[in-house]
Amino acid sequence: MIILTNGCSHTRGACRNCYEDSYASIVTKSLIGTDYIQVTLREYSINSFTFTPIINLIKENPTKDIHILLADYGKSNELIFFETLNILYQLDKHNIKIDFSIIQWTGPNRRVHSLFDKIIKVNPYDNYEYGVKFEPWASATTLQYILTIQNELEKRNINYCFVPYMEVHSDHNIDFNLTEFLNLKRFTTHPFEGHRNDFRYRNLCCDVSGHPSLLGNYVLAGKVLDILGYPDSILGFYDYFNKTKLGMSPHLGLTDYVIDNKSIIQKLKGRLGDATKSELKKIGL
Amino acid sequence: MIVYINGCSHTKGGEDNFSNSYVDIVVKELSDEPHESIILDNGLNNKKLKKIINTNKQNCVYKHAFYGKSNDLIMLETINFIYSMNSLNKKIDLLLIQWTGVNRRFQSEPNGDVTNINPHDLPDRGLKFEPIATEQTLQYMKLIQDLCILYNIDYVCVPYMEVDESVLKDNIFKNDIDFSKYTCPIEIGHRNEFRKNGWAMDIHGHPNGMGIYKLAEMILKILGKSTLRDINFYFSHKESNYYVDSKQFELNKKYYKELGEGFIPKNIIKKLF
Repeated sequence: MIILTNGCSHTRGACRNCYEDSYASIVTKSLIGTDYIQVTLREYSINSFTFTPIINLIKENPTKDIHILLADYGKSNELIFFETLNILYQLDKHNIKIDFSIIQWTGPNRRVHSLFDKIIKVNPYDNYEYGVKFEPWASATTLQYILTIQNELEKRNINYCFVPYMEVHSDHNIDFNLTEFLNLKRFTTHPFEGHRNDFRYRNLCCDVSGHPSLLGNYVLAGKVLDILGYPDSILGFYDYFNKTKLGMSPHLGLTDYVIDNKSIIQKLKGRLGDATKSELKKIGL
Repeated sequence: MIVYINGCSHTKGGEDNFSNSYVDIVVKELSDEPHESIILDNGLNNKKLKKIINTNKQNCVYKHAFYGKSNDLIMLETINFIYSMNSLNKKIDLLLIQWTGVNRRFQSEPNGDVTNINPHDLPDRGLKFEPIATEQTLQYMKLIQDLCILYNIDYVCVPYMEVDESVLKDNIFKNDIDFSKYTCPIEIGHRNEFRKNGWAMDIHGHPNGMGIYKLAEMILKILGKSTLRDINFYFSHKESNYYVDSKQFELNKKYYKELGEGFIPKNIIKKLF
């Protein structure tokens, strides 16, 4: 069985910088147990578009289950789209079939920028001097990326789930007719809603940026498994997290910051945005 | 017949400077009916787009090409148009895409506008570099092809500017792109050949009357219609020889491979003569 996951830090297991904390890892272990190979993008150059090492690894281990976890910090939907499409094309060439795919869509304002010798991630935190995307283009392009990847996955008969963690700006897209083509049954929430603000409100985050806490990841894993057609397969919360290499944190991955400011976070959930320094300053945090 | 065309100034420019653009010639040869040209604005404003396309017009050419456009924008707008037509149950009979320089991109602005970034316009804001520049364009080529197949749309692509040969060589899915629908090999492009042959009107390689005629001829050949009337039917003598005898042509002919986007300071051009 091969599972392909892509996304940003919100799928990376960011709170403790631990891949095992990610809902994608919970889903994988719930579906196939612990005996599998996990391949992460960090092991390969971001400038390598061939994914040859991953293809070789799959070929060398034909009987092994593999989780290709491409999610990483700061990624844009542009890069998630580009990479996902590229790996799908390349797997096709080698007649390798993906069984499940989990794609987490991130903030529409992010983008990828190429320099002479490398590509860099541009988002409200990193390299923003190169120019983030503004609305309505940001959301319009994100919806097109989502629709295109949806079609590519369905064409290959891959069981997939989309996690729109950050909201797409609906006010700009009321007449954006691509939404009628989206298979919303495959989304963990409506792309105009997103999870981030809801998770902030329900205290399922470990920081103001809205990264899902251990409990948040567990909730997401349940939603993903429902959509993939395995609603009763999720491992027990304590069973799973006590077995991770970091074990259980006293606050279940929730930082003191969030606990101390829980009411403020809940109150300001809609105004926190990406929780950059300037945004926090503006709302008095 | 409903026709859609997108591209950069190498498509739009011809329309502005000559009595016929290559899409006009193609349509004239494919249909006896008069076709209305409908110019579409840059962008993804579907409210506006749907109003324009939601008509009973049976014979029209939607022209979306514009100066300075990038393949990023050409791809997004084209996909958007295909889906918009589909949502209104309308069929596109012919889709023409002119792919432009791979290093171009666009940037959205806080006021909602879009800015084209290319070697001529605002290059200091950062162009695309290889290998991602060519890799992304190859993805767009494949995506548009797949959508055309899915919706049964006849299409032809015009790779006016060449892609990076080394990146193309290493690309793993290039063989899945149907290059029989392309007017020339993508690693060669038309620009340099047109400069060399005197089919370009300036150092940037924009096609002159003869260039436009040749493009139309190549497109029609792919569509299975190889008869094209004499060039004088479409253009005046002046148009078809636009710039061909000038110093411009000498420069183009001599340096056709090195000119790239044709961004050469005037003082250097003077020195060359």
